[in-house]
Amino acid sequence: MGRDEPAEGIDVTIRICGAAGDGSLAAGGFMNAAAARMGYHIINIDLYPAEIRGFGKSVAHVRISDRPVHTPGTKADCLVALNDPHSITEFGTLAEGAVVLYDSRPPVYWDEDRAVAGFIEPGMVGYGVPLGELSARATRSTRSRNIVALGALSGIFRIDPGALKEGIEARFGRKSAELAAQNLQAFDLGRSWALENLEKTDAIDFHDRIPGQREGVRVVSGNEGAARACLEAGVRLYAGYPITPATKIMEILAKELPARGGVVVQTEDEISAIGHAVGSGFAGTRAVTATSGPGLALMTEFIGLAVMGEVPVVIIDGQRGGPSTGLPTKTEQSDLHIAAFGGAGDCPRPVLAPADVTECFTLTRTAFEVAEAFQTPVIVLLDLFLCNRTEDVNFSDVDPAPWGAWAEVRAERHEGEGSYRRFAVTETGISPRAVPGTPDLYHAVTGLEHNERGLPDYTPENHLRMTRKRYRKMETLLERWPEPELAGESGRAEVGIVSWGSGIGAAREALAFLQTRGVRAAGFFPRLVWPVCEEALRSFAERCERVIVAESNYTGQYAGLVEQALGARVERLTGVPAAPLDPAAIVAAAGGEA
Amino acid sequence: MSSRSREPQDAPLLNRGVASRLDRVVDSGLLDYRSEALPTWCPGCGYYGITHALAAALTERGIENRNLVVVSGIGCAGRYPFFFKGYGFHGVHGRALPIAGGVKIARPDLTVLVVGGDGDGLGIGGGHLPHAIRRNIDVTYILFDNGIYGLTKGQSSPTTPQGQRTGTHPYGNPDTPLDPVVLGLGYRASFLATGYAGEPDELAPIFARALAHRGFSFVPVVTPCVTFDAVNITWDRMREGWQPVPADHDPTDLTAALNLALDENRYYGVLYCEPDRPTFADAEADTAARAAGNAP
Amino acid sequence: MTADHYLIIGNGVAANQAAEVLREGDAEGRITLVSNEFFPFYYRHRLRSFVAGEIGEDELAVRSPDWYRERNIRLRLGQTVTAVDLEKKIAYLKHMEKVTWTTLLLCCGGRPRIPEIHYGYRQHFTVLKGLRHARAWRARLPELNRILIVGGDLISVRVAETLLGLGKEVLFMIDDEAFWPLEVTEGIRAELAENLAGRGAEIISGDAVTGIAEEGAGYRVSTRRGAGIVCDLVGAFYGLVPAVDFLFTSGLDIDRGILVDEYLRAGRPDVWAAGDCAQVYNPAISNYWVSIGWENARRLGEVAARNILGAAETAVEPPVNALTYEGVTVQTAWWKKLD
Repeated sequence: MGRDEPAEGIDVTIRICGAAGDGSLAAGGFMNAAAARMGYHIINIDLYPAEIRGFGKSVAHVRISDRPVHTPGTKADCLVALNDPHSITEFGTLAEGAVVLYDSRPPVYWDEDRAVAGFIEPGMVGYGVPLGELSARATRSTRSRNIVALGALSGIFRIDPGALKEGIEARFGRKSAELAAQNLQAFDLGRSWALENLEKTDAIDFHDRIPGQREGVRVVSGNEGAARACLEAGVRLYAGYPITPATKIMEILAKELPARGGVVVQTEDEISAIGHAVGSGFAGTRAVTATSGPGLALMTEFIGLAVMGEVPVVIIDGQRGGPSTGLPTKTEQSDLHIAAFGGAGDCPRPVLAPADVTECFTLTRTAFEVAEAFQTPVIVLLDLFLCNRTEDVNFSDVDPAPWGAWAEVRAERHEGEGSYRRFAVTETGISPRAVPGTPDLYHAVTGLEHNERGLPDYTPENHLRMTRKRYRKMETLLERWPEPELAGESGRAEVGIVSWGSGIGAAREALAFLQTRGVRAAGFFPRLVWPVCEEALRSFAERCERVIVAESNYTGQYAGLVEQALGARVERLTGVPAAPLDPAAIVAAAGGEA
Repeated sequence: MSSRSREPQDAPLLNRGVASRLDRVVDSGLLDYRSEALPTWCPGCGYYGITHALAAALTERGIENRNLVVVSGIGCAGRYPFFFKGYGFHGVHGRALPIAGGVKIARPDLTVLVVGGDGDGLGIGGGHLPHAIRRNIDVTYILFDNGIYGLTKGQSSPTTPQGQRTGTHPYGNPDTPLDPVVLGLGYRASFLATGYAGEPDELAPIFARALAHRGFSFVPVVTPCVTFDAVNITWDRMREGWQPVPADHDPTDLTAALNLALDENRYYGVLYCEPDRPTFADAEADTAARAAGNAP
Repeated sequence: MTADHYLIIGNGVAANQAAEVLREGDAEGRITLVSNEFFPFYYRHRLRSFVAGEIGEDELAVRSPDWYRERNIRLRLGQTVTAVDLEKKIAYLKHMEKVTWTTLLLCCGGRPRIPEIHYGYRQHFTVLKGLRHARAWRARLPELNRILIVGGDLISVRVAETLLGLGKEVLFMIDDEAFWPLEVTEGIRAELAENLAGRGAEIISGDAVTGIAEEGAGYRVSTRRGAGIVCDLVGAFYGLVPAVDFLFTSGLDIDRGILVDEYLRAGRPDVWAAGDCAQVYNPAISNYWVSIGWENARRLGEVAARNILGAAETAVEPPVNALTYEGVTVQTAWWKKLD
């Protein structure tokens, strides 16, 4: 998809490709951090090798822009080739006119078709820099070729070197001053060599500009955002089981929770994890677990128990390719069905889906309040793409409660006659809740259908009453939840695009593009994906000639819910490309030319 | 309250006898832990005796009702939380230990009692037992071992003897049964005691010690299922081979404890106890201290 | 799947004609064209229209990238061969890649020739050979008013005409050496001079350049007769010399160009040459001739390819002592081995 940024704007995507050990991801990290500090917006995803050891391909994909960006972009404007054979496989990801930076003086000749420069085509711009030689000059090894390349890029693209060098010095300085000095020299050698020897024929130019120093801005991943939410929510217990892509959340909390009076338990399996979390929720404290599809599948029984017992708990699901073990390192959005409906019986619970890294923080934070206010498990759907990608976030700028504040209803003393009715039927469906340790308000929570006092009761009247109560809570949530985000055209629209989770970023870019082409396009971007906001959906659909639901799963899981709400068919943009949703695909579906 | 003895049908005599017994029970304080809900077990079920012993133990320990949490799984023992005056969690099959772990970690001030049968604890829940033991969470787990699945009407359980005919093994159970006592010792529980339902007065002090122990207390208790097991664990057979743990047994000696467990006789009492092993809470405090030390 | 790899160095008309014929004759062998210019195969004769701004770059290309893809012909553009090892059959590329071949066809073409006597000030000459130069001419033209053309080879005539058509002032100095390696008769020279003068050029004859110095934004050219000619640009059109420097140490017989027999074989098994870079043996005169012009290069490329595929065609068709080039018939000059 062509970019229509104004002549002044910066919107550059760089891919740094190497073998494991070449430092491509580290270089990407330096680039991100420096760009963020300078005041640019970044989105970055790292692609890891499939194997633990060996020399598999690892790629840092960095998009840098002076305006907020919502997707990483599918095409790169620049490829930094730290490993030729791997980098050759990256050519399909290059935009027209892309720059390729490669090592012009490897120690030996490459065999035929193993040199990346052999694949540079007319229209591309190839810059050969003696990365290995310059690295050896600075550090007596070739391990700093990635730093040399950063220096060369700063020269070629006229990126102010200050922030980059600060980052390099800080990182290596942690190990030793000498290492820091050597790597700074590697950077300088790369930069000066490029400035002296290369004739700039590409169009990427940062003009040495620094949009504005942003103090307090950090480069944060979705997992880190979610973990921070748990910390700020005052979580007492994180119980979890390692699973890609959610493990990082557990590891961050294992480091940070103990100092804040919390504890992390790595359980023997996901069932034990959710069991611990539910027990903690029952006991009146905040508890959370994070998992992925296979783990969520194991947890469905406990979700049912928590719904039946009206126990608050937060489950974070980092969706990945499924079904079953699926594609553990690829992103997908196919757990919506199991999150909303998995488990036996009519089992209602809210499902939230953040759209970007900042929302991984704010929405997860809100999930704890919603769980307690509505005495229910809440599932927060991230996906691998969100979990792992990084964006620039300034937490002091972030509105801590964009989704409102939610208070829980506790029962602290006995009111009224007879035994305490833990599950009293109320207008909102929410019953004042007593937690263990409270005098007199004794009760047992059970997975059996029960009456208001919590005692097993299988009569049909009771079952209907209690089922209705549990669903009434969801209605109350829907009534109080903020309206879903509407974007683009506010009146009648030719095409309406509905998306959720990380798909929203792609839909936003598609929307912006369509509007520049004069298409009256509107967007509908819910964060509460179940229960479905039928009213808002209907008003949206009514003013759109066409409705397209775009998401990364095969059957159109949210599209099905939309159709159910509208009582009418919609167009589905579905797919399982094992990659983030592509704005160009949405534009094409809307009939635009990408 | 034992339901084994039947009152005569003489009404006035009945009222007088019941009333006096009721007074005694009320005075004992045992009712303080009982809710109004009546147990649903069969007459003759060993659970009544165990419940009596448990109530006595709680009385002795002086546990406040509001701090009592009873967690159960699925089975005849599953209904336990309803029969106690306190807080309860009747969870799903096999998952009582994780729930109990979560409760105790969240609120170390609570007394957490976990109850469940042999199917619940050694079958579907079998994977949770060793890890709860490893964490040494300060809960008390009473495993009601009746060698059968009673609630679902008589299928084989993980402790059903080989060869016994059951609903799912009409030609005899082919599998070797598990022994929860050996398992518990093998898993290195920091406290392991056993008993049987026939002697509630012997059980009560065992339970009291289990409650008192700082750490994971594992107490498998043999108990009959009078409805579905007429051959294995009966009231008569139960008394065979049960002896108190020898007075000279050193409960800190794991090998000795294992020998007792593997012995053809059955021993009731505390087989193994490590009173000073750090609990989960101790480890948590330790971790927090180290984390604070490392904080910038 | 055969292991044959036909490696063609060059991307001009000889190279492309050869590639086409090779693919027609061998459906499976690998064919690679290597050229140090990025732009695809273009119409040489359209360069002056491009310089004049009459056409764009997209009208220069002879073939689209699809043509090569359909025929599975690999294009390595912007890649430079720095050396070849004829024993191991490896070509070494500047970016440190080595390519092996089973058959090597050299169509390296020519590069602008500056006679040795002008070497002292050669940096002030501006040549026009290839797209890179053409782009530079095109970009600079608006600022140029007065241009001195020296040499006077076949291309220069057309360039002068183009410049005159754009309203530029053109001084045209015909050098004795201009039509090298062809001999130019007095009559030819006069005809050309009249042609150009009629269009408004100032013809300078019987003189030669002896020095060029920068003066302001332009140049001051000193000549044998002493006149200091001031101009904005000095265009040098002394013909082409084969661009075979990288082959000097390879072991091939090279005089000015690569010496090949009448079948275009370079004296080594599986090494061939065609086009402007070759000197082709003509048994009839027991000497070598060089090809000039598009059609000759095309023809040589075709013959080389056919012979690679197993034919035994010779390339001595053009008449022995006359050459027609764009309507001008000139005498060809035979070139001795020692010069």
